[in-house]
Formats: sequence, structure tokens, C-alpha cells
Amino acid sequence: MQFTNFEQFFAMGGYGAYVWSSFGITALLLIWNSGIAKYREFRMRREVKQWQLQEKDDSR
Amino acid sequence: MSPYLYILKTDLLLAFRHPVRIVEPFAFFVLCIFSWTFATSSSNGATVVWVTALLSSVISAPQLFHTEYDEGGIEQHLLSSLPLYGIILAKVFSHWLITQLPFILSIPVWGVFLNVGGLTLFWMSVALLLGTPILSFVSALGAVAVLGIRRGSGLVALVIMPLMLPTLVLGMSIVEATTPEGIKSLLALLAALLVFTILFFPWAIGALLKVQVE
Amino acid sequence: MRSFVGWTLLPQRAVHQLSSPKYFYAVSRIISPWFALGFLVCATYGLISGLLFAPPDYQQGHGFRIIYVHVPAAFLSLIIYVVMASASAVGLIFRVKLAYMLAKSCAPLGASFTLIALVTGSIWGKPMWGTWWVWDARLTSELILLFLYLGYMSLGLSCEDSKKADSLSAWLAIIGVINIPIIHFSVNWWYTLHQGTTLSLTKPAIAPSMLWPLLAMIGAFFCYFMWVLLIRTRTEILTRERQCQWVKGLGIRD
Repeated sequence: MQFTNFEQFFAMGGYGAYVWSSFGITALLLIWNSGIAKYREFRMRREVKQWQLQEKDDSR
Repeated sequence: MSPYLYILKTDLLLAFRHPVRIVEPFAFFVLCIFSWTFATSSSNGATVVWVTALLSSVISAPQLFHTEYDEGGIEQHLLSSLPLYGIILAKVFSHWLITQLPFILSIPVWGVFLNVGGLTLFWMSVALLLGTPILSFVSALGAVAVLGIRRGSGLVALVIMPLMLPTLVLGMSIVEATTPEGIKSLLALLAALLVFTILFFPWAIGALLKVQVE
Repeated sequence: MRSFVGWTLLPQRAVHQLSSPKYFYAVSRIISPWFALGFLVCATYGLISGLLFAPPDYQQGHGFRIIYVHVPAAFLSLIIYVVMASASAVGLIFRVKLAYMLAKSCAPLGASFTLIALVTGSIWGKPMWGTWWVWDARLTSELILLFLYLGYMSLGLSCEDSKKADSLSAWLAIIGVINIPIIHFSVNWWYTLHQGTTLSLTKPAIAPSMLWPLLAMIGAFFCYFMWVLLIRTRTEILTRERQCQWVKGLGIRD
């Protein structure tokens, strides 16, 4: 363990702002990317399901 | 007369019938250089010339295949018994003759405004002679890629600018180089890039043309 | 003899089946959670050991820890371009629709990783070089890579005919992948201020206690890429094949 307390960990030896902004931006972009992909897939699957139900109604 | 020469001659004749096609890129060059040297008193001549060459290539790119695409000339080329490779080579060469050559020939005049002279000017012209055909091939590729897309002129810049960067970098390094050996090795690299471009790009442009008229 | 021939044909058959969107859809539904799991495991290990346990750099102190997002992102941005161009080539040569869908799904991911590499690189550059931006070979190549991705994406988006868009952007991807090394070398001529390559096979330039978290983060980013790529490709498959019988018969539970 390189740090003894949380303050040291957040300060990163004076580079805190640079290190945490880098990690933060990376995390944000990754979350946004996977979130939008997941959401689009969810929406598409819901649409397909609705078409399927519609088709069932039509054939009845 | 070889059929390729015939294509070349037709294109040049068309350009002379509508001189605006020659004057426009040339005027663009001149305006760029004037406004640039006017705005920044201590500007680097090579930078101005190369960036101007790049921009004028990008701007004149859309006209390269556009009328032919609208009038069905491209289908004629694809149907003809000639290899597509040679046809494209002739078309791009004529485009280069129309849009880039007049400027390169008049470069001693612009050297006065840019404060470039002597050997530097000579090597710069050689580098331009080797480099601008590459720019023409790349812009031809971009022009074919955006055929049939409305408002494609902004898109063509985005597509081709990254591909033009090596030429730009090499061309500018030639002017920065101080030793004759350095200049010669950079010129050799630029020539290698030109050979690679001539070998590969007409083929790729032909493939894209086939996709476009499919 | 016959069984031997059968066995040699097996990979070919597997590839053939996988190239049909229907099978790919089913298989990717099964394997994509594993990539998500791999991402979580690798990222947990990489972040904990990289942020807490790796020793500080003797020159850059704790500031070097940006490496654990910057290098994996830069690495992935190149790998994704190569994957995209290979998928495009497969699509053009073998006329596989699925390959185009994969290539199309790669592009936004590659662009995001390129953006991450650029932003973290410039954040890293500020304390180390004293400026946010330096026109050195690798940062410039990365910027050009971003433009290549953006060009690819906008060409695909602005072409109305989707078949045409597929082939055109596939060609653009292939031409771009040939240009990447040329761009890199030519910019290398220009000016280089960047430190030496971090990962090298011949001499260890980095201590193992720093290297393992880095490899774990590369693994994590790769798993993340595969996970999101599969999701995006599945969405693309459903969008394009919605008229097909198999989509109509697809069992969807929520």
C-alpha cells in the first residue's frame, strides 16, 4: 500500500487534480458508451416484441 | 492517339472552354497567400504554400467527377474496354494540370511576397511537383466517396484531410531541412509516397466508382 | 479419413454459421455477459493495484498513474481501427453482411477510446511537459486517428443507401489503416518530445509491479470493447433484419 490515509490518496502527491480528472473522464465516457448501447438494445428489443404481438393480433 | 491522351485532351479542352475552372483555384491560391502574409507579417513561406495547396485541393475536389456522375459519363468509363486504372490516372492527371500546375509554375513570383528565394524556392518547387499529385489523388478519392451525397463538400474535407497529412509533413520538412543530404532523403521519401499513391489510389478510386454506380 | 476431413471442416463450418446474423445473435447473447464479467474483474484488480499498490515513478511521482487509463485507451484505439478495417475487408471480399455491421459498431467505440487517449494524454502532459498540447508524433497520430474515425462515421451516416454506405465506408476504413503507419512515421520525422515506448518486448522499461496493473487495465478495456461491440452489433442486426422470419420468431423475455 502506497498511501497511509485517504487524504494522501486523494492528493496523489500533488497530482490529484490531474489523476482524478483523467480517471473521471474515462469512467464517464465508458459509462455513457455502455449505457447508450444497452438502452438502444433495450429499445430495439421492445420494438421487435411489439411487432411480434401486433402480428399475432393480425393473424387472429 | 492513345485513348488516355484523348481523355486528357478532352478534360483540358473542357477546362479551357470554361476558364473559370482554371482561374478559380489559382485565384484561391493567390488570395490565400496574400491574406496570410498580410495577416501575419513573419509567416513561414513553406507553411503558407503547403496549407494553401492542401486547401485548394480540398476545395476543387468535388468538381472532379461530379458532372460526369450527373451525366452518366462514369458508366461510360466503366463500360469501355479500357482498364479503369488508366482512365482514372488520366482524369486525375488532368485535374492536377488544371488546378495545381499553374500555381507551381508561378511560384517564383509568390516567392517575393513570401520572402523565399534561391535554393529554398527551388527545393520547395520540386517538393510541390512531387507532393501536389498525391494531394490530387487523395482528393479524387474523397470526391468519389461523397458522390451522390447532398452537401458533401464539408464531408469530403473530413474524409481526406487526415490522408493528406503525410504529404504536408514531408513537404514542410523539406523546407526546414538544412543539409543537402537531409533534403534529398526527404525528397526520396516524398517520391516513394507518390509512387505508392500512383500504384494504389487509382485502383481504390476505381473500386469506389464501381460501388457508386452499382 | 472421412472423420478427419470432417474435423478439418469444423472451423470452417463454425465460421460459416457465425457469419449468419441469426446464429451470431444467439451466440453473442450467451458470451457477452462473460466479457462484462471479465471487464469487472480486470478493472477491479487493475484499479486497486494500479492506484493503491504500484510504487510511484521516480520522476513523475504519483502523476504517472494516469498511465493506467491513457495507455490502454491509446492501445485499444489502434486495435479497434484494425478490427474495423479487417471486418470491412472481410465484408468486401466475402460479401458478409455481418462483417459490415461489426465494422459499423466498432467506430463509435474506437472514437471514444481515441478521445479518452487524447484527453488523458493532454492532462498528463500539463504537469509533465508544462503544456496541455505538444505536436509530437503520437499525440498528432492519435488526433488524426480521431479524424479518421469521424470521417468514417459521417460517411456512413450521410449516405442514404445503406448498402452503398457499407461498401464506401469499408473502403475508407481500409485506406485509413494503410495510412496509419505512414502518418505515424511521417509525423515522427516532424518532431518528437514524447517519452520512449512504455511497452517493449526486448528490454523491460517498466517495473513488474507497475506493469501487471497496466496489462490488467488493457485486458479490462478490451473486454469492455468486446462487450459493448456485441451489444451494438446485436442492435444493428435487429434494426436491419427486422423483416426477417427469424426476428419475428425471436423469443424475447424481459
